[in-house]
Amino acid sequence: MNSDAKFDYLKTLTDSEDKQAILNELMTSYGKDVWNYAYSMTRKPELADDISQDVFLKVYRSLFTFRSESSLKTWLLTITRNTVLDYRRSAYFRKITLVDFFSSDGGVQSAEQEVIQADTVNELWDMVMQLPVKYREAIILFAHYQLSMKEIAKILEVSEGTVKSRLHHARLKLSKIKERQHNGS
Amino acid sequence: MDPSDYEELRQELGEGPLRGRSFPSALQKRILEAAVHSAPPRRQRRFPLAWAGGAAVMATVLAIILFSGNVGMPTDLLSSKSANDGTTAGQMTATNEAANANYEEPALQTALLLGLRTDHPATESRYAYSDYRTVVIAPEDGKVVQTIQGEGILMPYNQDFWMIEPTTHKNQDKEVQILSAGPAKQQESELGAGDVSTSKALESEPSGADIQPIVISEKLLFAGNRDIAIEQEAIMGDSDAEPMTLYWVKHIDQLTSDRRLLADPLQEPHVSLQEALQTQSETTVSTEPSNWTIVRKPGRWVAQEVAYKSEDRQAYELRDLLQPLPREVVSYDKLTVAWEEIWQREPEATDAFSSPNKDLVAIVSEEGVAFYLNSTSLSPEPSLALELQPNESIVMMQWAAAEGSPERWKKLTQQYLAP
Repeated sequence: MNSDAKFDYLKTLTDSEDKQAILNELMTSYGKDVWNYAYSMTRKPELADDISQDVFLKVYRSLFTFRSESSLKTWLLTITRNTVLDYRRSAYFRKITLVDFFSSDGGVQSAEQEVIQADTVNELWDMVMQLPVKYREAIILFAHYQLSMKEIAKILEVSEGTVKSRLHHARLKLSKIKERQHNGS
Repeated sequence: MDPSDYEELRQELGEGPLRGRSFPSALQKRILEAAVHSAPPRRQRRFPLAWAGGAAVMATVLAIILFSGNVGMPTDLLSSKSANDGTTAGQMTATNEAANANYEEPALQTALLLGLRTDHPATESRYAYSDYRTVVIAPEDGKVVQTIQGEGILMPYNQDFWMIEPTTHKNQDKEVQILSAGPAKQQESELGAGDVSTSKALESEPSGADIQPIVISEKLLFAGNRDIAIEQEAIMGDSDAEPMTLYWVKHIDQLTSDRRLLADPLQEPHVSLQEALQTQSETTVSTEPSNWTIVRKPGRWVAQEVAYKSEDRQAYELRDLLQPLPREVVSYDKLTVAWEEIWQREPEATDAFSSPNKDLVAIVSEEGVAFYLNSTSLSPEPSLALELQPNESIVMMQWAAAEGSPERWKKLTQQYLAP
């Protein structure tokens, strides 16, 4: 049984269920998905912690609002993305991360990029994390979360054609990064 | 790209991104502890059958609106911000140059009604009050211009316009402002928006012995397709107790001009959350008032439910609701430009709105609203800048986008708004 099916009962939730136990189960099943998406968007582990906490507390307070129109994973990733966007707006977040969001795929590596490379599971993730966030999140939703074009379009609030275009450009940019790294080594 | 490339991507990115670092169990425990101290999830309250009928009627969709702005000279204030932001301006230069090189001017098909509220604190002779103005932005000779502005909130409603404006009443020798709405009237033959406040001034005076709440201030938070959100402060008769705070969403025609200060705010008609979200059941019954509101978060309007912590409704908490507001409530509300690009143009941006035709983007910062044309990217510089006054905020952003609508709006708003 996939994780979404496991939580089918959320669609008909009653007052009698133990909501904290449900929250715990949700975090066990989807905690990594939420955290990884928050981290992929922000590139800050501590910020991913804070965002994950916000996301799951929002989810906890809103358990009754989940509807079957979207999958649970899509619902959680949408909430995660919106929470990241709210963080991005805050002065604190912008002060500490604006440089990251606007850094291009060229130039000298920052100390943080070096840290990212040291921790990521493989070279491709290193390159993906260097992509502009618009392309980064599209390729991560597609490749890491294995969502359909329709699901990605819904989360990003763009058309499926735009998703395809972003994936195409992400792939081209990855090729350029790879080529540059090859030439530089 | 070859489909096999995608398969390779999926394999290589299946795990990660970090080695040995993801959602830690300590964090899971911390969240659970926070949840214990948080308000438990609650099933939304049910409402009577009458509300269900209202919800069915509500299916009617209102016109969507567009517009375009004028191509004027950006203000010094807005255009100088990037230069003043040393770090970000330097980082963004290359990206901006690339975007500017590719920029193509769009064919403007959009007009906009921008509603603004300015808050004023209480004085000795009056409770807290607000001023309202509506600014019309529309295309003119291929440019985006501010065609007119006037007092009050001129809201498109059905195929016409309604005016929302403050009226002044009196309670225990202090002036109280409440809101009133009605079909907009032509300025040539009728009283202007600001005149209503004068004409109805000081007409009601509560006895002070009432045991029902009396509104002492009321302000508009949101105006949309058919609904408005208001915030009220109310006191019990001449009680010295702290005022209670009430939030309501109402259909605009529930705010008609015969509304009186003495009416019990808890008994006045309003739109329930279930009705707005179209989630109410026809078989469930409750007569509880539905306190909720619509607030602006970066890039979107969101619903917030009011959770009162005491029966006197003085202490409360506003909680975000995750379910998106339907188009019937917020009309067009989709931000089509990435925040990354918005911040490249306006580093201090706190909010942004896109037109349905995607040809105009309004970027909001503390200083004002900058209007950028949009095609393959945002225009390099704003085409028009509107300065905001201190304590002024946006309560309405209505677009005219259909063919012919911008011209129609330009013509009608000239009649309805006092110059």
